[in-house]
Amino acid sequence: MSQFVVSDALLAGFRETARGGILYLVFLSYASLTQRKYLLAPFFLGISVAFLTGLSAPYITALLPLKGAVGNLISGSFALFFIFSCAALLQSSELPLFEPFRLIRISDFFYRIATLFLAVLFFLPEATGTGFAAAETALMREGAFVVYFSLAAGAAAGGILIFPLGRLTFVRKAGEVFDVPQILLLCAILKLFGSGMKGIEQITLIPSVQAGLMKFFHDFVHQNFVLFMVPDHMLLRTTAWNFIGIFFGANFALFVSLLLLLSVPLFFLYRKLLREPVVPAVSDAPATGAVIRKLRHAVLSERRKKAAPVIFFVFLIVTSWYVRGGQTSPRLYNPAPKPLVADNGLVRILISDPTMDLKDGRIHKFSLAHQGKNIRILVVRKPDSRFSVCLDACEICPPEGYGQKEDLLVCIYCNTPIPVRTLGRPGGCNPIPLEAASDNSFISIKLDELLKKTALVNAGKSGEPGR
Amino acid sequence: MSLIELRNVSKEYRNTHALRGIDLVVSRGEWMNIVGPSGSGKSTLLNIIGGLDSPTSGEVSIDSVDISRLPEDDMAVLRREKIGFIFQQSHLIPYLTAVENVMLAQYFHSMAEEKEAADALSRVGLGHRLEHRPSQMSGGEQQRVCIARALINNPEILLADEPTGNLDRENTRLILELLDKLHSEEGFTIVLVTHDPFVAQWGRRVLTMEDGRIKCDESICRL
Repeated sequence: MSQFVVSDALLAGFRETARGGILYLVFLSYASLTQRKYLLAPFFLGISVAFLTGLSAPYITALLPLKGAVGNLISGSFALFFIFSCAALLQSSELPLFEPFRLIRISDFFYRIATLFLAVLFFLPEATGTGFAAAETALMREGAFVVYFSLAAGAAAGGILIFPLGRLTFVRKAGEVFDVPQILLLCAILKLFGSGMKGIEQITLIPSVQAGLMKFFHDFVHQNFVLFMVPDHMLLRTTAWNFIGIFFGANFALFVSLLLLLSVPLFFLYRKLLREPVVPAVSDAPATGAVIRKLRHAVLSERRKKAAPVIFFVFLIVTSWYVRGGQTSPRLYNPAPKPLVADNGLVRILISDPTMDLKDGRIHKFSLAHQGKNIRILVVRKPDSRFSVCLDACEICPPEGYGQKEDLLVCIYCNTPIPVRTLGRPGGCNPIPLEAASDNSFISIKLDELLKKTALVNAGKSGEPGR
Repeated sequence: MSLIELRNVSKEYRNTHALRGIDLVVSRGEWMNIVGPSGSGKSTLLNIIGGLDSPTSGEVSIDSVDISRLPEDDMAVLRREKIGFIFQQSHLIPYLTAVENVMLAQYFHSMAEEKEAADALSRVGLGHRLEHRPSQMSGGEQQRVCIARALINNPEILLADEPTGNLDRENTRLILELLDKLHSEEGFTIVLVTHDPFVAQWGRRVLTMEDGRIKCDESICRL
């Protein structure tokens, strides 16, 4: 967890209150308009639990493992909110498939529990990240009072800015366009645009979500093509690789990731905006043209209102993806490997090397010449402060290795982005992880381990030379 | 069963007393004509019944709802859902066709629906004039478009202020036959203001106004 200074603490406090405040204002309006104000109590209970747990996590031994998982918690909670909202959008898209579910009567108790759970899920990851960052800074730099006072001041500033908005009429009526799916989608939006992987350093999840989706798509294609569809013949294999390469062009995976994100919201919009409405049966008034027209108008108007947040989500995603897609990609950082030697069955990498800072978060490459083979090793310090040690190759592509672009490793052969924080996962397009031990001075890898894992590299199987 | 009820309704414009303590009950499905000389308060009474004007004192109820002190938004809802208006001037939008003029009333009520608007024009005998603009139609035809426009939202009350004032006798008869049909077959409650004795005789009840007061309520007089 990165340390953060007073200004960062102010920003973190401000951001948490702003995010929570926006959600609260919308939720308050929704609860008021739907006579569900009883949900405010579990909502606030969830916030309290999340912040008490998150801010105290660094001081409770049992919760210390959360530190390493904060990044996954944050992106995972976004994914959960997005999946929940997609499920709810499908449920409310009037598909006959989901008709039986609409007959289920959901009790108030269930709503209370669900609100509590979702409030904890929404606030806990960022609160924990902020808690660890604050504790670390308090311990190492500024002192607890300064850090926590700054956090509180930032939170107060966020509150002063956001909560008065609740007096505005359109904010009080915001609940008219929100229902359960739209509120879950708002949570996902707030997570996507207002969360940080390290508490404060990165204020949006968009890059990691993009990378995650692209990687998901890439792995899916790779696994299917390589395992099931590519004939085991060198020539065909090469041709197939060139064909597969089309799928990993600069923008293709980006568009697919867009499609994955937008498919359910767009389907919902199609069902809500383009289909003829089903007008409810009239029982207490003669079904004259005007009465039917009024009912149709009410249904259509309700549909349009409920579609507004979804349209907003689609607009935000497309815009942010377009903006990011339009950015010029920085060149891949690909340092020359430093030679290593094996000694007594052990390969050791010096951590405090005066010629390089192994803790700088960038990739460092090393090479070992062994029995005519040149084995490349890749070392990078992850955001959770642990070193990840891998081969500079995966099990699928020819072993051209990886370059670095911001917080992604990118396969030089097929352009697959791998988030740095996911390094260490085996299989697929991930760099093959190595078991290594580290102390304050050295990272040590057993030669046997190195040779065993080198056998997994694709070049060994296909014989295709690195290009 | 009363649909319109006025209790001691007065209306003053500065020093002019347009209405003086009017008490009136109009039953559902009734056709009442209001007659009287110019300045007797006929149109003022109609405007107050229709919520276009408010009384200086007294109470006005439509379908048991006291509209004297109704907020403007609620009044607008009541007007568009319960009352249809026909005026002496057609007040049609000149650059819209007949069917579009009717659809405009649908739009402000809920939503426009062309087929229903076309059916309404056919009911008043203008099925062949759907795409004509007001300037391409006669005065009688324009007034029939107004009737279709007034009826399109299925109001309970039809308020007509000199609807035949600009028409010749033949067109006047056509309009009145149409109103008679709507009244007898579809049960509309009609309150019609006129100074024309020919028109007045079409009503089932005639209210004679003079100097802001009800001089004679013919249904009562006949009793």
